[in-house]
Amino acid sequence: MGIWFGALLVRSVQHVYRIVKEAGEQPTLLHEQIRGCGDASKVASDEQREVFNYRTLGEECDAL
Amino acid sequence: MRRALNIGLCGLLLLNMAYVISGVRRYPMNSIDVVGIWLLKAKAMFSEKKIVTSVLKNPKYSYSHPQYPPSLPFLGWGVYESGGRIDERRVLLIYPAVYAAILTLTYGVMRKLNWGQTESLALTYMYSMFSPLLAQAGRKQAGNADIWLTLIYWAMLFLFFAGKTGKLRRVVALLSGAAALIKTEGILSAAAILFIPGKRNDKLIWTAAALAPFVLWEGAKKIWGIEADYGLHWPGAGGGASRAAAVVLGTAKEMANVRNWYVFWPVMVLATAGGKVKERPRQFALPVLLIMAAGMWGIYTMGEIPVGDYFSGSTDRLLLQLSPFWWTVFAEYLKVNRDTLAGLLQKLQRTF
Repeated sequence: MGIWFGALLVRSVQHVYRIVKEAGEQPTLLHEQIRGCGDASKVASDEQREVFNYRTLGEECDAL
Repeated sequence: MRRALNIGLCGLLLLNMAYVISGVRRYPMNSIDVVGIWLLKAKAMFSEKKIVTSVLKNPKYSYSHPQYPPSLPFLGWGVYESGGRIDERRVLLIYPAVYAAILTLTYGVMRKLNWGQTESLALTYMYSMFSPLLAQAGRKQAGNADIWLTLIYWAMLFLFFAGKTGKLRRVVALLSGAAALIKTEGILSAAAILFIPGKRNDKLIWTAAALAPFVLWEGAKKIWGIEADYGLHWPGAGGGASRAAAVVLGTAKEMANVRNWYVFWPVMVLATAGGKVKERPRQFALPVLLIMAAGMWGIYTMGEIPVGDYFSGSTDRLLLQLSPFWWTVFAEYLKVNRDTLAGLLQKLQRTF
């Protein structure tokens, strides 16, 4: 259990690093930034198409 | 020295809070389940101003599992209405608060199990660091449903160990009904009522009451014509054995995932199965855990979806849902049978 607890403390230090790093970064994948079906250039996976459906609520991206 | 340790452990817990809040700010909408299931429906409800939206009946959205209970989409809809617009960040910011409530209840249960203040804080900190919990609290998975069940189960355990059995059955029935309206497997928590001491008739009445919201939602789906995108079936003896083996192996593989659970599961085995058991803990957390786990794993054994594809992606969240029970069982066994944590804390005291 000592090793376990020690690993957790190391991970907590990692958390501090990430918090500081993320403070200066911009958020990604906000709702407003999810592109509509019209932007076909970066569409690849079915998963992304689902995200597009989320944005457009029904607009089909089948033509992509 | 104890005071310094307590302050240090509280600092580590607060650090985790900052970590999940930072995650919500930096990585909102990273979970496809949040985007495609929970907030999709919330958005549809907000847009159409009704519960039974076109999304729930449209086969094109079958990936959103139309049959799932409606509580979380309701919550999202409510948040959107309160702000007058769709803003996912406001929904996702609820999740660090859920995490804080979970940790408060964890600490409370540890104290009820007669652990000291420092040991309770240490056990709470250790629990707070499990990756699936941190993930759903804000690190890329905020917006999912499982953490709500975790919260509800911790509340059940806290109330049980608080010893207020007078109204406990009805409160647990209410919590179990709420859990079933968040995710269907939440209904399995109705089993907890059976292990609250009392008259058999009372247990049966309140177990039936706990099942009522689940039955109502099932009826509503029939009336509204909401089709499930998958269901359960009996796969036959051979198929069942094969699926059960895949489920067991998948679970064992996830338990061995040190990135998610560190060395918890081997330690759990040592704490509960290894050595002599001086005293058995109270018969609540363990039997409820076993019944719920059997129910969940049984559902996966009989699901229509190929188990290999689906189960591996679900095991961590199932273990997260059940975590209040297994962490309590672990803490109970550690308390009555082991001095490991106390020894660790003494070592820490000597070191610092």
